[in-house]
Amino acid sequence: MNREVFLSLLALDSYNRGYGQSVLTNSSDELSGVNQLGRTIGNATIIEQRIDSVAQMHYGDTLR
Amino acid sequence: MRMIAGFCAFLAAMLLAGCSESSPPEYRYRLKVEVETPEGLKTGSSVIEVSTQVASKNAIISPGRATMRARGEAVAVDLPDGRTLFALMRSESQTDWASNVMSLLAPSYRGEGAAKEKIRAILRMQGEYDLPLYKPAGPGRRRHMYPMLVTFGDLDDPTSVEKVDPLDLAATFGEGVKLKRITVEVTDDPVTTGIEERLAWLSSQKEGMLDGRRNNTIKAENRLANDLSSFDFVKERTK
Repeated sequence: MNREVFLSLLALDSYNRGYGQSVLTNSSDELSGVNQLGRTIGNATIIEQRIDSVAQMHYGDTLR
Repeated sequence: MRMIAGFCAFLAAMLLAGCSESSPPEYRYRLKVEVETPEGLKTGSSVIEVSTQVASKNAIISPGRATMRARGEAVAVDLPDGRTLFALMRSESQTDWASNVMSLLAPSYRGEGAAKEKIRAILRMQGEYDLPLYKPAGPGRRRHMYPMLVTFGDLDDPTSVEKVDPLDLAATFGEGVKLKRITVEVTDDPVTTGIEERLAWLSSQKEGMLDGRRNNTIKAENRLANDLSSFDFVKERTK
């Protein structure tokens, strides 16, 4: 994939990564964002995310 | 011009109508943890409230999505030798476990009105329900149904947090200490408060993770302390 396109996709994904994420990198992962560290998107690795009280208060929990 | 203004007003009204949310009734449940010890049965419990907002089917973003919020705090069980076991408001895999556990026990509903039907079913649940350790969650998958269990080497030091194996409490608390069961029960009792009296640092640590870092990061040396935040112990503080 073109590097510019890939970086653009990562930039979009990072906005929605962590608590309340919509795109899961593994089918067993959760919307709440735990278990995401170390997961990969292409050759990029998720090394940091926000899942603290601020992230959770701004979102809310989704019914299962 | 007047027609354009009228059309804009009509459009705004339609957008607002589409975004409006309805609120099914709130419910509360008591989360109880029972531990067998050489000094007898020790128990702790906490009442947690769950409120739900359902987006209108005409909402532009996520129509019909049910969003749930939990209010309450972790269960604390006082054990021999001054140790305390905490059952958090999250599980191993879900930070939103506390707002979901009752709905996972209730029957599934589909289609319009599913969220309200599910909450009515939860409100009809009577008596204590023993939580299973896991529940099947699709082919080859299982969901943790227990809350995450932790303790502290020093209650005043959040970085001294230690994970507790629900199948082997003796490894942490000594011989003869065993988890008997974890139950949930719908209740009208008030939401439990006061965990800050046990964990004084909760009042000052409203952001970030227990290790003091702002984010959950692969660089953290203390993995567990970096995975947990104050929100896993208390949600929606009223102060």
